[in-house]
Order: sequence, then C-alpha cells, then structure tokens
Amino acid sequence: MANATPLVIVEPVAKLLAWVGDFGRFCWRVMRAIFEWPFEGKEFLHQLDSIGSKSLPLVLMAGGATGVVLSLQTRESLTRFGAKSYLPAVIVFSLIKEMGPITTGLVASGRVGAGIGAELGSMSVTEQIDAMAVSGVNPDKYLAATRILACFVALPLLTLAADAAGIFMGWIGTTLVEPTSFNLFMNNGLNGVLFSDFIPPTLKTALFGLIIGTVSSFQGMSTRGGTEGVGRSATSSVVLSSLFIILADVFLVKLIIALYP
Amino acid sequence: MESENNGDAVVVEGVQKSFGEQRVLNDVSFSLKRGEILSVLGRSGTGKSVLLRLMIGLDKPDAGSIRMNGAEITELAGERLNEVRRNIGFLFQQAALYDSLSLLANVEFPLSRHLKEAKVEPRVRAQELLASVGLEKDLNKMPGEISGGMKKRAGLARALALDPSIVLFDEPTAGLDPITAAEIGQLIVDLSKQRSMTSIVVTHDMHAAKYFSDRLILLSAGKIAVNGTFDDLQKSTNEFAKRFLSDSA
Repeated sequence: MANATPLVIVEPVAKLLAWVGDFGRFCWRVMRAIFEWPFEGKEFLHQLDSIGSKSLPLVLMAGGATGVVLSLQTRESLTRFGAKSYLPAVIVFSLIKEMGPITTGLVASGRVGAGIGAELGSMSVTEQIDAMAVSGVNPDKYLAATRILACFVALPLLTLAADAAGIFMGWIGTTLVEPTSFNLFMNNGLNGVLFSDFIPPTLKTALFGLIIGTVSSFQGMSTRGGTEGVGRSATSSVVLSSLFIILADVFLVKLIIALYP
Repeated sequence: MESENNGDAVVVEGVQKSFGEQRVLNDVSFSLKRGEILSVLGRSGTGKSVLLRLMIGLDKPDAGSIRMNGAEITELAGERLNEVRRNIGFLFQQAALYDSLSLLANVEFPLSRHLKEAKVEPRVRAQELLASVGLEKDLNKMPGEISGGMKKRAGLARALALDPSIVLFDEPTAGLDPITAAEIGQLIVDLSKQRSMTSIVVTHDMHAAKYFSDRLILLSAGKIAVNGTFDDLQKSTNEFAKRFLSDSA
C-alpha cells in the first residue's frame, strides 16, 4: 500500500501533463494552419452553417426560457423590496451581461462540442483523417481550423440571438402578469445600458467558441479505440468545453470589470 | 523528389519502430525498383501496416531511413511532406472513404485541391477513375450504401487520383470473397502495368501475393525473414517461412 499511493497520484498527474502537452502542440499546429494559404473558405462557410444556423433554434429556446425564468423569479424579489419598476432593467442587464453569453456558451458546448467530438472521432478511428493527410491535405487546417474559426465567429452571433429571445420572452413573462407595452419595457430596460455593458460580454463568447472548437477538435482528432472511443471523445468534448467555459468566464468577468469599471 | 540514381523508387534502410516496450520493426531494409510490385507478408501484428504508415510519413521511425522517389520522408514535415505524398497513393484496409461525401466527391476531393486546371477537370477525371474500377454507375452513392468490395474499388480510384508513381496497399483483399479479392488483385496488376506504378502490397493472402508480386518480403518478429521472389520463399530454409507457407497452403 505504501508503494501504491505515489502511483495513484503520479499516474493521473502524468496523464494530465501529457494531455496538456499534446493539447498545446495541437493548438500551435492549428494556429499555424489558420494563417497558411489558401484559406479553406468553402469548408469554413459549411461549418459556420452547421455550427451557427443549426444551433440557432436551440439557442433561441434556451435564451427565451432564461428570460421567462428571470422575469418570474425577479419580479417576486423586486416586489418584496419595492423596486418592481426596475424589473425590465434587471432582465436586460442580467441577460446581456451574463445569462445570455453563458447560456449560449453552455448550450453550444453541448450541441456543437458533442457534434465535433463525435464526427472527428469517427473520422479518426476509421482512418479518414489519415486518408486526408496522405492525399496531401492538412487535416489540422481543413478539419480543425475551419471548425474552430466557425465557433469563434458563430458564438457572438448566437449570443445576440439568445439575448434578443431572452429579452422578448422576459417581456412576455412580465406582460402576462402585469400588461406592459413592449416599447415601455424596452425603454425601461435599456435606460442606462451602455455599449460597454453590451459589447465586451458579447465578444467574450468568441473566446467560448474558441474553447469549444479547439477542445472538441482535439478530443475528436486524438480518438483511439473504435466506437467506444468515439463515445468517450464526444462526452469529454462536452465536459471539458463546459468546464473551461465556466472557468474562463470567471477570469473574463473580472477582466471586463477591471477594464470597464 | 528525384528518383534514386540506380532506379530505386523506394529505399528502406535499417528502420526500427517501437510502441512502448514492444519493438514492431527491427532493422528492416529493402529497396524496390520503379514499376515493381512487392508483397509484404507476415503474421498479424508483425508491423506490416506500421511499415506502410512509416513509408507515407503518418508515423516516424525510431531509427533508419526511408526514401520515397529519392525524398527522405522521415525528415519531412508540412508542405514538403505533402508534396512528396501527392506522388504516393495509399489504399487503406477499410478504404477510409469520407462518409459524408459521395463516391464521386471522395475521388474528386484530392483532385480539386491539387489540380490547377479548369474547374470541370477534377469532376471529369474523378468520373474516369471510378469508371476504370467499374463504378461508373455508382458515382452518387454514399460509402454507407455500398459493399466492402465496392469501397475498396472506390478507395483504389481515390488512391490513384493524383496519378502517383508509388502506391501502397494495406490488405486490399482482406474481408472480401475470393471472386472479389481476385478482381481487386487483377485490378492492381492491370493498373500497375498501365501506369508503370511501383506497388507495395501488405497482405495475408498468399495466393494473391504469388499472383501479383514481382518480389515479396516475409516479416517475422519485426525482422525480414525472406526477401526475394516467391520461388525464393518456397526454397527458403527459414523455419518461420516454412511454417508460414505450409499453414497458408
């Protein structure tokens, strides 16, 4: 038992370090591939459609649901403290500053992360990625870089959609309890909102997209072990992307507060 | 990119490769003249497929040298490696067709990236290639809709797309019925002769190897046990070679 204890610690630490090393090398290769000519424009647009447009319904639903929940829950608290008139502002601020971006990030990490992990994992175990490499096409550039860039571009756009759906459904939730015109709701909600409240939190989701694309592509492309390995890659893509998004959010929120006090 | 002075298209010297503690290739050396067909035989797990992966630069050897058309592939990376690979075809064991693309798009994929001619050219050429392997009626089928033999044919068409001077075949007849296997074997011989291709065929199929090989090597425990013609294999006094031949019969 005395000899087994260090192994129990050393083995996972060694595996973690190996993963970090491999992931770092992968990021470096992809970064170089992004700047290599020619740009894979057609595949990038295909991925933008697959990642962006096809995630839109899910993101709209998630954003809308968040808006309704915010409206229902916050109303009670604000009424208790005599600040009910601030309800539209609370909904709008909560959505644009945090709930919209993080909801979009987590929903996208589930749908897009699993999709990329499973697709590239399946290609890896059936030697399709090797086939691409031997035909003189760089898989890091064609498969990974296009997906990562598509995630990077799509996430802020999806966040805008989630914010809009959340605000609209927040108004619906509010007006069902106490009829309010949409104009009045928006005037109250947007009163005092600055670009610095809106732009940085929206743009931070580009980093979430970078995390989802990079982690999922890496997990997918390093898949081993047949169909079981594909399943593991899809799961680990979602778990790691979600975890890294939440951790990155902590730092980004702090950074945004420091830059835009 | 120049070929060897003595006409060798492939030169493998002292190649070693280990995975963890297990050494799968140990001091493997051979060469192959332009237009020759070489079969690589051996038991499962003796490093035959690993040898092919090293020759196309998918893996790096621990030691040794591999020159393909005169280029030291073990030292190449990035665009220079891709340049050498464009002149080497590779037929994977399970064909490795892109399952989101039709057969036509699979063959067109390398062509559209590397041929600089007019835009219609890759599609026409892909159609010709698929017709040359008997798949002219299945151009728009997806890989999931066709049989193993058809996948191998489509994979062969894709491997030949860029008109390579060297083609590597990883068990081209494995998992096929005897008639389809014979057809694939015949296709390899015909195409090799028509295009003067240098071919290296990893196979377990002794009859196929006898039929289409100019030479063969037999791997045993990561080393070459026999290197020569089929007659040399039959005359070999090597114990493993004798057993391999008798078990194959």
